[in-house]
Amino acid sequence: MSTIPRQQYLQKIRKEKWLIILTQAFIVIAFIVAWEVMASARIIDPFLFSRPSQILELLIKLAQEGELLHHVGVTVGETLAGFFLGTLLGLLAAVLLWWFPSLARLMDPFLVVLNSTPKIALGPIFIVWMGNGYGAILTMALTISVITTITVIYSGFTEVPEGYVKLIRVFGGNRWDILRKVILPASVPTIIAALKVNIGLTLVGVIVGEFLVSKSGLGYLIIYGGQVFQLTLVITSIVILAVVAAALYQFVAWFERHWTSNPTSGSARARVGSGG
Amino acid sequence: MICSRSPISVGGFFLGRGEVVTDSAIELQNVTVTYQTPKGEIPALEDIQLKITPGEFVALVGPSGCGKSTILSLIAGLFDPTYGKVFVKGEQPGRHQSRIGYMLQQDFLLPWRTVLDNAKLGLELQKDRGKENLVEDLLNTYGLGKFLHHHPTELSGGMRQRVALVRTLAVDPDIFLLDEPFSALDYQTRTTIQEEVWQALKSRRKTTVLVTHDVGEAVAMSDRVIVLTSRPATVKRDLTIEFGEEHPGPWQARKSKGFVEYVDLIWDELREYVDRDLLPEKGGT
Repeated sequence: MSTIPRQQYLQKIRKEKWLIILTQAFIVIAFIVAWEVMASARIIDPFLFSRPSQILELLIKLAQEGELLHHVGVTVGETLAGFFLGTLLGLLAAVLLWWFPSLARLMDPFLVVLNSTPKIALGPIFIVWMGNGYGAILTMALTISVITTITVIYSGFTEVPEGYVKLIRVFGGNRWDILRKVILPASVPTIIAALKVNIGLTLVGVIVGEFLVSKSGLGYLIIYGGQVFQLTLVITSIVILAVVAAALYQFVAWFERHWTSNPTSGSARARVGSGG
Repeated sequence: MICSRSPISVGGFFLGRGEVVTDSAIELQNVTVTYQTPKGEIPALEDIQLKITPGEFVALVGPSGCGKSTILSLIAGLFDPTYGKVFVKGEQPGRHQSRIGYMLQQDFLLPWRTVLDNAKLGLELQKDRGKENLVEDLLNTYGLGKFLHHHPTELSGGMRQRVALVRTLAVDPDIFLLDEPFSALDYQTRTTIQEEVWQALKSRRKTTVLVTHDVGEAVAMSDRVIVLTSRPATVKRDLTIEFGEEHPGPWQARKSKGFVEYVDLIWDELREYVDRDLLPEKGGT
């Protein structure tokens, strides 16, 4: 008796899911078609707005010349390097702040100021300091991501209920035990949230760095295209950038699933329940 | 003044590892605790005298926020008193942390660990390998054998508190500090867990200090009930509980002659605070 309504329900869910996917695809296709049609009808100026067919042509050309892979490779490489370094440094700094509460109190106003300063403004200084190269780009990316990482992860540490700390202390555990057995595993969801923000911020930093350094990468293609009034190159680069950004986010999301779905591997399943 | 009046107090002297010879498991001498805040001093405990003999089960009752838990923290060596001295088996606590078991209102099971791994936490922290089989045996004893590899979120409140009990029993501490460990449980579960904890501790001759709001629970489980005043807490009444020759356990104690009288007696001591807390203006119902 009850299985028929259940099947109907599941069918309805599946139907709705497909309807949404189809509508989304329709919006994208309609946008591209409208763009192309309006450009060929001269309703919009293709010199200023480019057109999908030109973008596709340029994409194929860039791919054949090996330029596409080169520039995407440079940007992704820099972003991943900045992401791992930023996460590692941020995590390390957060642990230090937790370990030395007086250090946390000392650093608090500096972190607040640094967090609200637009770090992009420091770009020109980095170029002078680090030279016109990868060093400046990486520093830019790190500066943008690391402060946020520190504050997010550190506040996660401080939100771990005091009872867990008490428990470890009563069992004779030291500060290292508290960090290893409670604070870090309990903060896994916070750390993952920080990673998700971090990957986006790092990409912003890398693109700004490439704008300034102007040697290679998607940021360079965008700034170069703008300077020579080749708007097709600019828009093509932005399209590639959007795909890269989505892929990088999926990478973090995959990492999250992998980390949290396996309860036996150390620090998984890290939602701190309220207990009893 | 307060001596070994409990039925199973150890008669002889206990030789601590240190130089002090004493027959008490826990001793608080003129203990005063004041918390320093920017707005001034907040006195929490004032001149507390307390002696607990080995194997004794003592309950601390008193108005909310009077500093009952502070006494447990002192015994656990989590911090030092402002004035006075605390002795655990004749020595200052702190170096003795590992010999103390603490059970809290919340079970504080680590949600990312399995039941078995949670129960092993204490042994793990004390680097006491080789007693791991004991943990499984204990979990089996408390009906958790089928849930060894489950996570705490999959267990009921009572089962979770049993895991917390096993976690503490596994390290075999001499002294148990219970900070309202039953108050979050529903009535039926509470009664069962009270009985289980009492049996576990009495059969192992553990010294126990129970902090509770539940006067009935205090009378049913303890050999002695200590009534504290409101903040700053002082000892108001020290009452030995006796139900015949041997303590019959909490379940039987509730049905014993004298139970209601003990509860009434303690309620009378606490009434003035309750009235003040609940009916600040008018008084009376």
